[in-house]
Amino acid sequence: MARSGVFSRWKRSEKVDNFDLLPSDPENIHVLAVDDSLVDRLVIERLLKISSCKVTAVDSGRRALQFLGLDEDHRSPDFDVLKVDMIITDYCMPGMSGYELLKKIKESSTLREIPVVIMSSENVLTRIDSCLEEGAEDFIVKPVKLSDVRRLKNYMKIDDRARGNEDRGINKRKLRDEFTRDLTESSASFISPSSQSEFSSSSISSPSSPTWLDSPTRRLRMTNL
Amino acid sequence: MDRVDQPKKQLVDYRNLLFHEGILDEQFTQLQQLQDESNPHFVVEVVSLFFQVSLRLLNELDKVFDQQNVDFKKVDSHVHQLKGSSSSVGAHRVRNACIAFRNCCNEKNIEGCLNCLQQVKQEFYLVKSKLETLFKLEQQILAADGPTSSD
Repeated sequence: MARSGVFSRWKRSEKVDNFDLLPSDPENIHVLAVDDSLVDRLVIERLLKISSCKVTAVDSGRRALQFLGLDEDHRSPDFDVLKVDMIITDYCMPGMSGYELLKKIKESSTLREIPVVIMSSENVLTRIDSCLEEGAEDFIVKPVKLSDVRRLKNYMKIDDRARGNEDRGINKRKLRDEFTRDLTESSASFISPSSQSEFSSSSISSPSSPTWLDSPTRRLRMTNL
Repeated sequence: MDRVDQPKKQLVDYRNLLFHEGILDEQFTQLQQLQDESNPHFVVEVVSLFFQVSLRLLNELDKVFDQQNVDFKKVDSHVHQLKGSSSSVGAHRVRNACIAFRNCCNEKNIEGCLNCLQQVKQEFYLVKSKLETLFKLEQQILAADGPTSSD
């Protein structure tokens, strides 16, 4: 079994009793945070910890890959690495950008299932699009708030419950629809609740889908509606 | 208990004023929400770090403009970092000054940039001074409350 140990919630071949591993154990959610900014690292770390996540914070994409056991030169995952449930990374970083880190993770057969969230101070449509197309779960405009982190945690809970025998490629955008009512910042909601059939889509990159606009104050993608 | 109430009111009023004047924004409130018994000094910690980082960046910016040829890429990079940090702590006016700065930088307008740098410095020292006063007020209240208050 090539993919054990590195991530907890996204194993598909291992028939673990997923439903017993539900975040009734929130302390089990381990997030790897990547940001070159000292201040932002401190804040994101605290945001995650107060939301009951375990956090490992690193200052570069390179260090993130090392932590994940996927060094640039050596592609052998280290099974001793603490399982990572989510990666949240800044977009603009010297050296390897968050986008490049995202690509490397999605290219890895062992790590690609780990949801990756991008943070950026710039709300640039093309940037958001390319990140989503590359497989990012979500895109948060900085400064990051508690409500952002809560939303991310909700995705993971729902995905766990709903996954069942679902193959990879859970369309989390659909699932986000159901949580719009939980969002504290939902003014003009651009979401059109899609049918359940969208859920079985294996493609994560459907940027034209209007359903993932769950944080309207943070995204400006109005054009695809 | 006037001894305690008066300083508390002073603190609340002062803090409200900072928001009202646009010196602080809602992100600062977020920071306050991240502080609790398990992490009672979080706000001071983050803000102190912000001061440190900013002072270093301002220093670097001075150096860049001291050069014969201004490296605008460096300027942009430093200002970008400063903008990010100030945004993350809620230092609203510093952040705005950084945005203006980046615009000047894009135009490679040295004179404009120098003015912007002045502006950023002004706003930074202002928010620094205000926050230090705020923390002092908080300290006074903790001291007045005595050993029963969590530290």
